[in-house]
Amino acid sequence: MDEVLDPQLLKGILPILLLTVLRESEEYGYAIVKKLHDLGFTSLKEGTVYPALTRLEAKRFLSSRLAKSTSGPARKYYSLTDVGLGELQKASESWAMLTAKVDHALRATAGEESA
Amino acid sequence: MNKARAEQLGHQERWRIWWAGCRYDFWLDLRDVPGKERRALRHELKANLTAAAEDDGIGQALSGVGSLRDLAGEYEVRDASRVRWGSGLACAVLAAACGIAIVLIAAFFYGQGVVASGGDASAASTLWPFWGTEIEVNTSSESFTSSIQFGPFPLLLAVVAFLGVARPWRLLKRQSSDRSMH
Repeated sequence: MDEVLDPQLLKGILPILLLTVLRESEEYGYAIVKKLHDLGFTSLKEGTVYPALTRLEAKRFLSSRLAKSTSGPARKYYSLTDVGLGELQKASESWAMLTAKVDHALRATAGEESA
Repeated sequence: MNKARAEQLGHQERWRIWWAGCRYDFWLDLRDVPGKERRALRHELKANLTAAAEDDGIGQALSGVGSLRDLAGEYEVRDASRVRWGSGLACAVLAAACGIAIVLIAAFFYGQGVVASGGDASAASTLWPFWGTEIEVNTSSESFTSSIQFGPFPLLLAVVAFLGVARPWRLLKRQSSDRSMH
C-alpha cells in the first residue's frame, strides 16, 4: 500500500503514526513495527522505527518500562504520556489542515488545466 | 509471540543475535554514547531481534534492522568527554593480531627465499620495516627450521590503535574541567 510513498514523507509522518499506534495500548519495538505493517506501512523498517521511538521518549511523549520475556531479554514497552497525547492531537489537527490545503491546491490546479 | 518458533530458536540464531549486540555496542561506543545508555539500547535491540527472529527467522530480523552502524548513528545522546575503553581495547587486540599476521607472512616469504637459494643454507636477518623483528632460517636437504623474534612491532600497532580509538587524554580534559568547576 505504501510503495508509492516518498521515504522522506514516511519519515516525516512516522512520529504521528507511532503516537497513534501507542494510543491504543503499550507495545514493544518489534510489535509496533508489526502493527505498522498491518496498517499498510510495509516499507517502514525496524532500523527506522526504533530510533524514532527513542527520540519520542526523549521528548517525553512516550514513557517506557521493562517487562520480562519468556523467550529472551526483557522487552521495553512504550506507552503514550499525557504530553504525548497532547502532541498527537496537535499533530492530527496539523495533518488534517495540511491534507485539506494540498487537496484544495490539487483541485484548483486541475480545474485551471481543464479550463 | 510464536511459542513454537521460540522453542526452535537455535544456538546459531542466538549467537547471531549476541554478535549483532556486540557490533551495535561497538558503534555506539565510537559515537560516544555513555555506557548506561549503550547497555539499555543493546538489550532493547536484542529483545526486538529475538522477537523478530521467532516470527520471521534471524536473516529477516537482521535485514529489518539494517546497518548497525547507521542505527547507532541515529542516537543523539553523546558524551564527547568520555574515553572509549572498550572499543579502544578491541581495536588494539585486532591491530596486534594483524601485526603478528603481517610479520608471519613476511617471514614465510623470507623463508621461501632461503629455500629457493638451494642446498644447505642458513640465514638470519632483521625484517624491514617490522622494527625489531628478527628471523633465522636453517635449511638442508633433511630439515627446515625457522625462528622468529617478533620485537615491538605488533605491540606498537596495538598502542597506536588504542590511542587513536580510545583517546585516553580525554580523561585529563575531564579532570581539569571538573577541577575548574569546583
